[in-house]
Amino acid sequence: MAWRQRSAPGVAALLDNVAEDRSHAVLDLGTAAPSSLEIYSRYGRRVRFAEVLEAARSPEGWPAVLRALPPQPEDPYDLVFAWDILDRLYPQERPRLVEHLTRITEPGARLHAVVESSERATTAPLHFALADVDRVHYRTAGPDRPARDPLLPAEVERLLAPFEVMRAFTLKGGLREYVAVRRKD
Amino acid sequence: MWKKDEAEETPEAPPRQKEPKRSESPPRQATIGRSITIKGEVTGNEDLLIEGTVDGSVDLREHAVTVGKEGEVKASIRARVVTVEGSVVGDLNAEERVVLRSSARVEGDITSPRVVLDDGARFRGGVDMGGDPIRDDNPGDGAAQGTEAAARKASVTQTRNVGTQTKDKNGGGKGETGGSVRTGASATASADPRS
Repeated sequence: MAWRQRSAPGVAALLDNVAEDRSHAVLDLGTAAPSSLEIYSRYGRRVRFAEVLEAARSPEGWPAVLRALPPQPEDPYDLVFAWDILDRLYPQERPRLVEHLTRITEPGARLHAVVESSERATTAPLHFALADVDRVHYRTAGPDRPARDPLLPAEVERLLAPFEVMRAFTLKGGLREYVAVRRKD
Repeated sequence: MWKKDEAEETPEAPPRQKEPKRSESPPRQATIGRSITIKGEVTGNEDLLIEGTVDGSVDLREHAVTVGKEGEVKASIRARVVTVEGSVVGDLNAEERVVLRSSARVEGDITSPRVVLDDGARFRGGVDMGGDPIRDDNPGDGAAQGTEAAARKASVTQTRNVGTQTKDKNGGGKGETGGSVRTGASATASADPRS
């Protein structure tokens, strides 16, 4: 499927004032993409792609997600990208994912999440990749599937409680970007 | 500016690194054919093409290892250059670079100063491009360290999409697909997005 591109003010907000000094560790819960890797490498020499969405789509469900997630690293992650993942999990799995992210990050870590917030009955999962520091590529990652319970803004803030939502952007098409910073323990 | 290590300045990147010249004579290359299965440790003193199955470890530090399209490797690979077109479950450690072609399927961690990821390559794992963070917090020794790090950064190449505009399916902004321009930079992107 063809890639499309759109602006991503949330990514720009996330990376604003983040030094391109390769000192940061980057975790992308999505699929590896060349352009994402190139941009991440400006910020960190350590980058991980977890393919959580693929794991979530497997019949095994959460155990596969758990295996895909990185274990607690020696050096916690500083930048985390979670695109179209929270909304693809079952409601009971979402806090478990956030809890895991809390374990592998430290206070001050930045999280960028893209969440489908429309109340459509079916939605197609999306693959995202960074096109630039303020733009993303995206394409559908499979056929439409029944949507999980929609994640409305207040619910996202509750879900992301270990992180403080600093900025949020509503995009056309029912997507919403969140920029959050890990709170102190 | 949020800098994890509180570095004061980021040095400017020096001119792009040139690829080191290699010997003109063609390197010797051994092949593990499609019907061959090896369980154990593979070592040697020449380049290696794997079209068969290897379960264990591959250690050819001075040479290039290519996992062909038919190759299936469940092993850690250590080489000067690692190129993957087939399937690898295991860690890849390359002194010079790791290249994942579009048909590659890799699950494991990559350690290499340069990583080339073609569009379509499937990769799950970590990438450690080594080296130290770019910093210049010591005008004496630190400058050299920063320059070295910046040189590594500049050695990364990137392909950037330019060209045809497409309408955002969801009614958002315009998108661009097509063409490419090469610029300098450690992770190398090739093809759309893609880079």
